[in-house]
Amino acid sequence: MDDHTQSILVAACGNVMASDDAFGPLVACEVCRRALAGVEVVDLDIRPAALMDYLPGKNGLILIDAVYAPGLEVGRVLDIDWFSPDRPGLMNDDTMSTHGLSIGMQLDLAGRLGLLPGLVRLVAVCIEPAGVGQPQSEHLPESVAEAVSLVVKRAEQWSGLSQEQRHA
Amino acid sequence: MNMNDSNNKKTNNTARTIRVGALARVEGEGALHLVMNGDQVEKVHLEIYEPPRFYEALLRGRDFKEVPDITARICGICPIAYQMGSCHALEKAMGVFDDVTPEIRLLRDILYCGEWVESHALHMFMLHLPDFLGYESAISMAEDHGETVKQALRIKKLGNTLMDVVAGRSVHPVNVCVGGFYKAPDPKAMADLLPEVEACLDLMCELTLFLAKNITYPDLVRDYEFVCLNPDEGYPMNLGGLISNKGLNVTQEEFGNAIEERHVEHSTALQSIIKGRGEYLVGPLARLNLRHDGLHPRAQELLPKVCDLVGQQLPWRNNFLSLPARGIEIVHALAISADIIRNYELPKISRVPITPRAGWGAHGTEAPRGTCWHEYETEADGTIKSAHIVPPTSQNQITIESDLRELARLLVDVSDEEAAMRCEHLIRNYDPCISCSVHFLRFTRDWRGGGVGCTSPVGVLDGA
Repeated sequence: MDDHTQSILVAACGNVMASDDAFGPLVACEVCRRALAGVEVVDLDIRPAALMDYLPGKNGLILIDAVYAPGLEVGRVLDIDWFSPDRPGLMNDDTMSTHGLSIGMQLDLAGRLGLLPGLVRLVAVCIEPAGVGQPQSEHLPESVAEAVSLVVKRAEQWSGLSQEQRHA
Repeated sequence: MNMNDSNNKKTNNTARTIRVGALARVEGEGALHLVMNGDQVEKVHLEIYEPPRFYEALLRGRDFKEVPDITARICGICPIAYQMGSCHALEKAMGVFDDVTPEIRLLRDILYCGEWVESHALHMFMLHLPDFLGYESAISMAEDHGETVKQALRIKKLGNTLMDVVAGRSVHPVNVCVGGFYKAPDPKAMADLLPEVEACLDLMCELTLFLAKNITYPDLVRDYEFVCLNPDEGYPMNLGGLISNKGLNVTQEEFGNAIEERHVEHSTALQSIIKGRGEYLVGPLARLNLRHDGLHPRAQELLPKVCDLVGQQLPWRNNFLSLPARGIEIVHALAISADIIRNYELPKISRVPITPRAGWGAHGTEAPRGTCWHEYETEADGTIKSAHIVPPTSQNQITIESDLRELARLLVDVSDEEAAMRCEHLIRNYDPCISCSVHFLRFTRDWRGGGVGCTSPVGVLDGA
C-alpha cells in the first residue's frame, strides 16, 4: 500500500501474558481483521519504543493500551484526545515505557522532529495492576469489543473514506 | 528523576541522605542506595526489586518446540538473544547442534545483527547520549541535534526491519524455531534491504567518528575481568566457548560450573561471580577488548580512528567508552548484514529435522548487553525437565556496584543532585535490562557519622 492508504496508524501496546494488559494486542488483532483501507495496524507488544518507526507519513494515530487509573471503574474504556487541554495527565508516563522511551516521550520527541501526526487519540481500558501469568478478567472481552468499535469508527472517520469506498 | 527537596543540598559531608525518585532510561525497576561515612563508601546496593517472573518454572513441562517463543517474551528489547540461547542449547540437548547448516547459521547472524542495531541505536542515541551532552533526555537533545536523532531513528528502524524480514516480526519474532527457521526469508525481500543497509552503514561510520571526536568521556578506569564468547572466527555473537582477560577459558557446557549465582537480600535478580575470583563484566566493552580481531573489515578500519579520537588504545578499561564501542558494533553488524544479503540464496532447508530425546544442553550467545546463557534438560518426549537462564544484567550487577563504589568516592564534594545524575549516567553504561534479570532506579545516599541530615531515611519519591 502507498503512503495515502496507510495514513492512519493504529498502534497497540500490551503483554498478552499479563492479565488484562493483553487489551492492546487483542484490540489490534480484531481491528487488523477488518482490513480497513488507509489504516496500518501494528502490535507493539511490550516494545512500545518501536512506535517512532511507524510515525513518518501518518496523519492520524490511535494508541491502544491498558492503563492503571485508580478511582476509575475497572473495565471502563477511555477515548481521549491526546492534544486536548482537558486530557488527564498520565499518573505514570513511564509505566507505558520500555527502555526508558515511553509512548509519551516518543510523542514529544516526534513533535520536536516534525513527525507527530496531527490527530492522536488514546483508547485505553482501566485495569487492575497486571502481572505475568495472571488470567484475563471476565469483563475484558466486553471492553475489547467496545474499543474495537471505537477504533474502527475513528479510523474510518479519519481516513475520510466512505463505506462504499472501503469495499470498492 | 525526582529529588527529595529536603535533602537536595549538600549540607554536611559526613551525614547526608538523598533519595532520588526514578532513574529513567533503563529497562526495569530498581533503586540505588549509597551509604557514605565521610569520604568512605560503606555500602553500595543496586537494589533490583522488580518481582521475579519465574520464566524458568514456566518452561518446565512445556514442549521443547515452545521454548523459543516463550523465552522471547522475557524481553521486548532483546527477544532474539533469548531465542538464540534457547535454540542452540536445545539443539545440543536434541543432538542436532552440529547438523545446523552454515546457511541457517548465517540467517541467525543477520537476525542477531538486526537486534544489535536496533538495541544499540536506541540505547546510544535515545538513552545514553543525552548524558554525555548534558541533556535531560532525547527530547531536549532533539532541539539542538534533531538531524542526529533522525539519523539514529533511521538506523534503529533498519534494525527492526532486518528482524521483520528474517523472523516475521521484530518484537517476539515468530519465525525462529529449534533447528533453524520455520521458513527461509524471501531472497527478493532480503535484496531489497541492501541499499538501506549500505546507506546506514556509511551513516553509522560517520556518527561513530562524530561521537568519538566530540564527546568528553568521564575517566573511570577499572581493572575489569572481561568475559565474552570466543568464536573460532569472526566477532562474538552466536558461537564459541567463553574466555576472559584473566584466564577463564571454558566451553559453553562448562560455563555454568565456572560461575556462581548468589542471592542477595537487596535484589530479586541473582548476582553472578566467577568462582574463586569474583565479579566480571559482559557486554560491548568485553567483546571489543577480547575479540576486536574478529570485527568486519569496515569496523576494523574504523577502530584505530576511534581509538585515536578518544585518546585510548585497546583494551578500554573505562566503561564510559561503551558508547563508541556500541557504535563500532553497529558498524560491524551492518557490514556483516550487507555481506550476508549480497550472497543470500534460498537455502535448501530452513531447519534441521529433530527427533525428541532425553538430553541436556547449554549455550550462551551475545545479547546486545552481554552474554545470555541458557541450560535445558529434556525428557525423552522433548518435554522440558529443567531450565536455567543467566541474563547479562545479573552478571554485570556486582560490577555495576563496584563501579558505583569507585565513582561515589569521587563525588563527595558535589551536590546530591549532581551525584545522582552521575551515578545514573554510569549505570546506563551497562544498558541494564532489569526486567530481564528479574524503569526506574531510586537513588539514596546516606551519610554516617552524625550531623545534619544523617538520621533520616526520607520517604521514597517513586518517580513511578
